Amino acid sequence: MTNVYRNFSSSRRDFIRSTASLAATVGAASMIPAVSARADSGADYANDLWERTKAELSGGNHRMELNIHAWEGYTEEPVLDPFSRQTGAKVNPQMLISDPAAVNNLRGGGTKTWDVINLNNAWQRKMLYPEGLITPLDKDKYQPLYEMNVPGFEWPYHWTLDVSGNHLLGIIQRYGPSAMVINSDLISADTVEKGGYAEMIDGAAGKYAILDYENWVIMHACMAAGFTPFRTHSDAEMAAYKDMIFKIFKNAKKVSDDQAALARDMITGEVVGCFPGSVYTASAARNEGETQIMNVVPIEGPEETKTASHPNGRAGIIWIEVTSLVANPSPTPLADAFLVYCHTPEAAYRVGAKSPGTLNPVVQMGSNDCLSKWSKDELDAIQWGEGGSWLGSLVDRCIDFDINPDYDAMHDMYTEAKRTRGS
Amino acid sequence: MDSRKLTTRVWSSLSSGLLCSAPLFVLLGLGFFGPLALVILYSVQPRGSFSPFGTPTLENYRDIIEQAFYLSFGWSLLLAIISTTILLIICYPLALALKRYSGAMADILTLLVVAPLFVAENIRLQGWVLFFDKGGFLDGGLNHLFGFGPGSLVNNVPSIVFGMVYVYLPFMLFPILLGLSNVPADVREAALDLGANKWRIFRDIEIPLAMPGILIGSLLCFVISLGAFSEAKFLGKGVIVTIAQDIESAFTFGQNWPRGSALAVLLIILAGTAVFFAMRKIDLNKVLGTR
Repeated sequence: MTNVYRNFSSSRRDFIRSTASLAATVGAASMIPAVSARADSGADYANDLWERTKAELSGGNHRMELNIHAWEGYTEEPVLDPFSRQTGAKVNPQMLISDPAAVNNLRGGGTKTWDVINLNNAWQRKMLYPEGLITPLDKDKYQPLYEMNVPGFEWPYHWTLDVSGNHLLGIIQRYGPSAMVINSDLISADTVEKGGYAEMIDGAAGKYAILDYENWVIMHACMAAGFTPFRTHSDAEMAAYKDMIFKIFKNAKKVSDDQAALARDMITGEVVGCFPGSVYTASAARNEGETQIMNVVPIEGPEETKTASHPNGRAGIIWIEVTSLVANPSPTPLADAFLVYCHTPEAAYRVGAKSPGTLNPVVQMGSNDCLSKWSKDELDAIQWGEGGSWLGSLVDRCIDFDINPDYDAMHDMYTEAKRTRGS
Repeated sequence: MDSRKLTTRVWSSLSSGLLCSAPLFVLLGLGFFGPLALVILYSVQPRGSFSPFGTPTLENYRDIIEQAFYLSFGWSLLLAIISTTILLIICYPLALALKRYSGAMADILTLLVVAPLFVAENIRLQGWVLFFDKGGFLDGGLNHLFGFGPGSLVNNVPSIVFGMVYVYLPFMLFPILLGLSNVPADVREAALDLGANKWRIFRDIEIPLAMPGILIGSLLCFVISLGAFSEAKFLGKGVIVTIAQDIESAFTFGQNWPRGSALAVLLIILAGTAVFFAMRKIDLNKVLGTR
């Protein structure tokens, strides 16, 4: 395979050498319970349900176009083509640019356009469903599919249910821990994990890049400042956030929203790492053999995240995508069928491993039928580790993504910090 | 001619003129003035509004003053001035060469200038990133051949200016070509016969006659450079923020449509002012050869 990240002058990464460099991390991860993929009532149910769904669709008189508004992965041929082929549907995908933009798209009349919406967790439970923008799924039909999921995503799963717990608001699939991504040849993973965000922001000042997904920069700046972003903040915390976001931009070498370009910069040594970063930031480069590029999550989190089960707290943020049915006034059964289709082991694998430019774990990897489709390189690309222990250890250090009530004010400070970084 | 006949004739010619221009008025109304009015209305709505018809406020303009947006405006203005100046310096001699070489050579030169326009701007800029970046074609190639290279040549202001000059070159070149077509060869010859040197011909004949084209090219490049976005994003890599980037951020991650609209209104005023002053110097009829 041609390595698009590799520069012209350096040699190809020795896989074994980099694997050895991860030994400490993987060793630490061995404390986390491994994922034991099950064989496989959930997958059997998914396949059977998909066959029944197709049969039901074939007799129906309904709209044969499906409009999907989703993150990359759900909008590409490897996932959509088999669905179109098997159902005869014409699928019109549109990729998201941000969660808030998509939410406001629905608020602004997008419910008439879209049938399926795929967003990070929290929006469905806290905004979309209370505002009548999405419709609940058939709980009885979808509950058995949770048998496929990796630990931590069992039924009943908080983020797919409404506040009462009575309504299922969507399906879960892709997820990933987020904190920082580094080139472990240039900066020690162990040092960053022990030293936390300061090890990058102060320790690698002038040598790191900002992955400019604006809301994620804001969230991780909060974590770096010592508190979680997902609650109302005091004046002192807002001041601390402001200091931190200005410092993050002042100390960064470059700012880009092109994660492939940043991965290349890490490989060439242009930067030692990027803030923030997730498994998706590193996975494509790792899949090309550049396994020194990796997602790291600090071991110690803010005080407020410390609990009896996590005495060191949690420093990262895990995102979980929830895919829901839009409250379209002219619905099509294809929308519900698409959610069923995504649970089939082959489709779940494609969603995780075949989207262009990134690979991501999917919760259905708890099913052996799904997990077995992943190659060794693909599993290493998503930092799966032995029995899922490496990824599990990263996830275990994360709090769940949620909505930041002070986002507007923080975004103002973020844009000001970005404008003034060179002055 | 009695007055009734005259009135009928004037009305008839007026109504046929109105009739012919009606499609254009409808198009401009729907496609230009409509969105413009919408942007202006949004710009005076409070934060969080997704309707243009709420209670008007000037808070967005106040926030723009308080939050150092002058930096983005300043950078956009400076980049537009620098890139327009460089484009003038590059394109004038190039246009002269194109005018003087006729036939196949002129066709080849024109094709070389126009060909990049068939490729999307972002892709062309990404190509330059891969060329100039550390480990890219230039640095990697030199390292491979000689053991040393310049490292990364992007992530700075000159690389942004380079990108803008590269992208907007045709927008300066062709209006200047049009302007130079207003310089008859026999006028130059007459000046030579009368003893004028090359500098004097350039200063007193070529430049004044070609000025409408030069002004149109400059205006065009200046206005689109003011709204430049991709060059700073891809080649600048965050070294500065242009006003177009701020507008995009307000409309997307910021979800602050009123703020984005207020910034857009100010940018339109800036560009409109430049157009107003430039248009006072241009005789369009002369440029288009209708007089």
